Amino acid sequence: MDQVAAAEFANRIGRFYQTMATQVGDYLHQNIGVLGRDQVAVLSGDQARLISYANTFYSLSDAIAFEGADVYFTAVQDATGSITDSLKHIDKVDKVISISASVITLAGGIVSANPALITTALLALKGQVKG
Amino acid sequence: MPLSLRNCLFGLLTAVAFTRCADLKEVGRFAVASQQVMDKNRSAAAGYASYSQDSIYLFHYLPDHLRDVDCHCDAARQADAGIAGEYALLSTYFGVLAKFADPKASISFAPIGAPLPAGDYGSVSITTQEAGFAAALAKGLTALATTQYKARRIPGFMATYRDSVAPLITLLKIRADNLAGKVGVLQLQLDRVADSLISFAAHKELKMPVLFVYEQKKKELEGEQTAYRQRAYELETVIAGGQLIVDNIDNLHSASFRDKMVSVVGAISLHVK
Repeated sequence: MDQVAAAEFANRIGRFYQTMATQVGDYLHQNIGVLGRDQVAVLSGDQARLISYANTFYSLSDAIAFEGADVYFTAVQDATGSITDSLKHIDKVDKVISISASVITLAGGIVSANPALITTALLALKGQVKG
Repeated sequence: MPLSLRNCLFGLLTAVAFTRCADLKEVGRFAVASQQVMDKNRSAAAGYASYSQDSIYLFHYLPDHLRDVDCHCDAARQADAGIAGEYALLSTYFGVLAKFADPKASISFAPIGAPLPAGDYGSVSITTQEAGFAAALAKGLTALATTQYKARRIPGFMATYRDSVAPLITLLKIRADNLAGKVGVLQLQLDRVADSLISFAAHKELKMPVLFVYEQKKKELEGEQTAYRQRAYELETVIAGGQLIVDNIDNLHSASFRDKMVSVVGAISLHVK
């Protein structure tokens, strides 16, 4: 993957995390009256982390710093579309929390270029999205 | 060479050189429209400094002192100036191309500054590759205005386009995409901050001022995000137009090329105006 392709890819991952943060925010907004205080705190904290990761990926794209990371990117790219779609239809709060937690782990793996962490997060997400 | 002398010399060379032309009206129209895109973005008010200014206080929730949210934005301003310089170079390239294609076209040239050297400017990195594209383009512009023009050969222009112009526009498009994304993230953070302030306000009468400020800032950020998305779209369309010329380099008088280019120019002009 050349620098431009890597930068474009990092931008797409940034958009993915932004979408996730938006959807968690929308979920909170719509269910604020029925969610427990702890659930609100967990989701709100997750949203803050998703926002932070979106920012990180946009900054990485600007720095065009992801040369050679295409192996991780390909796996992540396959996963992101289905996760985004799934979150739109999930109405159980526990599931929203577990998915956002895995997505946060996934971002941590990408940012630290840690293949084991990426694989673990992707496997967890696969189960959560299907289940 | 001093900047003013360089601009003066460049203008003189251009004026002397463009006495004859190739009859390439569609290429000329594309070049003029592309130059307008570059000029608009060169003088755009928002940028990394503006983003830094907003992000420093939106991401620093409930500061203790005003100094906690001071923006040390000099590096971001320098990055903005460097990026504006890249747009000026691209504007000049398209100006030269417009003159080559249609010498009757009235073209003004933006002042060209020295390209920003590779390095980190706040959160922005100018890579060696990006600095190389800008430097190669700056160096190649004089040759385009003289020898390539005199030879009346558009392939020389398109070789520069392929090697420096298209890659540089691609990088600028990525920057516009990233800024659009970052401003979108700022909007999410604004929502969180406003929601928190409204939820936890001790007195109901404090909620409305928060709401008013929130709505104003939201509109402002939405406007910025739209502008960056539009910029990315325009740059993408310019890249598509340039590629169309490259793909039809031996076929620039064909009806098929003209039709496609009319549609590209229409798409650019629709947004620039």
